[in-house]
Amino acid sequence: MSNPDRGRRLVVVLTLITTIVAAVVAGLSVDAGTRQDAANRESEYLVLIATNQTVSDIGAENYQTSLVSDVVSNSADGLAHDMAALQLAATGDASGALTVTALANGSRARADAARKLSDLYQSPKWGPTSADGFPDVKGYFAAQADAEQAIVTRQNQASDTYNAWSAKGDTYVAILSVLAVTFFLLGLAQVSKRMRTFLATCAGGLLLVSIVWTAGVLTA
Amino acid sequence: MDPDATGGAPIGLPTQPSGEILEAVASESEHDRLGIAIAIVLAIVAVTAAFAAWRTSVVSSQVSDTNRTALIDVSKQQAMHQIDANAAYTEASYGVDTAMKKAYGESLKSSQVPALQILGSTITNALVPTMSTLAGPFAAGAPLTPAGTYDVAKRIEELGNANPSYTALNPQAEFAEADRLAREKTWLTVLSVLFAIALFWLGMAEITAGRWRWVNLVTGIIIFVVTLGMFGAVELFFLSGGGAA
Repeated sequence: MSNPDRGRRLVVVLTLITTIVAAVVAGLSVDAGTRQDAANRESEYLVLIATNQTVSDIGAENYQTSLVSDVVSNSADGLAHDMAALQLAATGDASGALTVTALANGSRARADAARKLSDLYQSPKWGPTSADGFPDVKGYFAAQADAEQAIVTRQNQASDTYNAWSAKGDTYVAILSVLAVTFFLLGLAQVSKRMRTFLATCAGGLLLVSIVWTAGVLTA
Repeated sequence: MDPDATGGAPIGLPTQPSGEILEAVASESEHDRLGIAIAIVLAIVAVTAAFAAWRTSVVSSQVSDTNRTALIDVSKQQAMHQIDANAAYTEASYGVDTAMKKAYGESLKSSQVPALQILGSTITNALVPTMSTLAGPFAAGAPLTPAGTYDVAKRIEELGNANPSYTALNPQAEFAEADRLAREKTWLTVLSVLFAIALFWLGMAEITAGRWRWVNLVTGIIIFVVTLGMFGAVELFFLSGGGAA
């Protein structure tokens, strides 16, 4: 086979390799785009979930703190009535003392009813450690905030993943552009006998750059 | 000049075409026929590539639409969940108020003060039943957690399940469908690129000559046929519902 034939064969082989590399890079580019879309969707989904969780938690916290407030306020009412009953008894007003004591019992009954229905009072985790103690409202709020923060953290991670795949996808598009130039040079090399070596060398160089670049992006 | 002297042919031109000329004309004719054949193949590949690009675009749109619908459904679901949660916590709050009022009334009824006994009876007999109508199922003491508190989460779930608009939404299934279509889109895009590459090889066959023209033509046709086969297989696989995770 003559030298020009060897040159042309080399150009055809280079074109075949470029074809395969272009197909692989196109696949990687689409894959990056798909992963980018998936991460974007996850990020948007988690924004909705985080917002919903925060609003739900506010409703739950209002309900729980309202119950604790009922327990504390009615217990305090009972205590105040007891003190008033003692004062009335000390002044000899037995009837008044009896009435106020009945009202004190009523307040305590209200407090007990609220205590029985309070998740914070009944919880082994947040409940009071002594009979007259208070539930760990701060700890409960912190745990609620942690749960919300965990979703926000996942959302941030999804957002970072989106940015990472977006950058990769952009780079693959740049590599595909280089491969398009490579195809152009190889096409010229097939038909131009005089410039074949120069064009094939340039195309080979660009192909090598594309392969190394793709490997670098792939392993990054 | 007597035309008969040259057999009727104009002066200076051979009376019969030589063998070389016939071969050149035959080669040129064959060259033209191959050029036309390559042009036809190019047209077929170009139309197929355009069809593949259209299908890729359609599937890509379906992916976007399905994802968008799923996210809208998540928003709707969350909005309905908030409405249900608001209703459940309102019922639970009325339930607590009713329970407290009932305990207060019972306490007063058991006192030794006649006026308070009457007040207690009024509270338990008149006020508590009226208040309990606002407490929903919590008025009857259900649903309850194992600790004996109101199970508001379960009540929210009950309200959601009783709402056909809520139960009709299934964003997770839509996300799964979007993922399946995205996998199809990936394949179709790669195959569209391969069709474009087949076009490149056939284009090279159109502008080259001799043995290399055949190399370019055969390579282009092989890439086209393999890609077309894969395209058909991918379409059949995904249109029959395949590719789900």
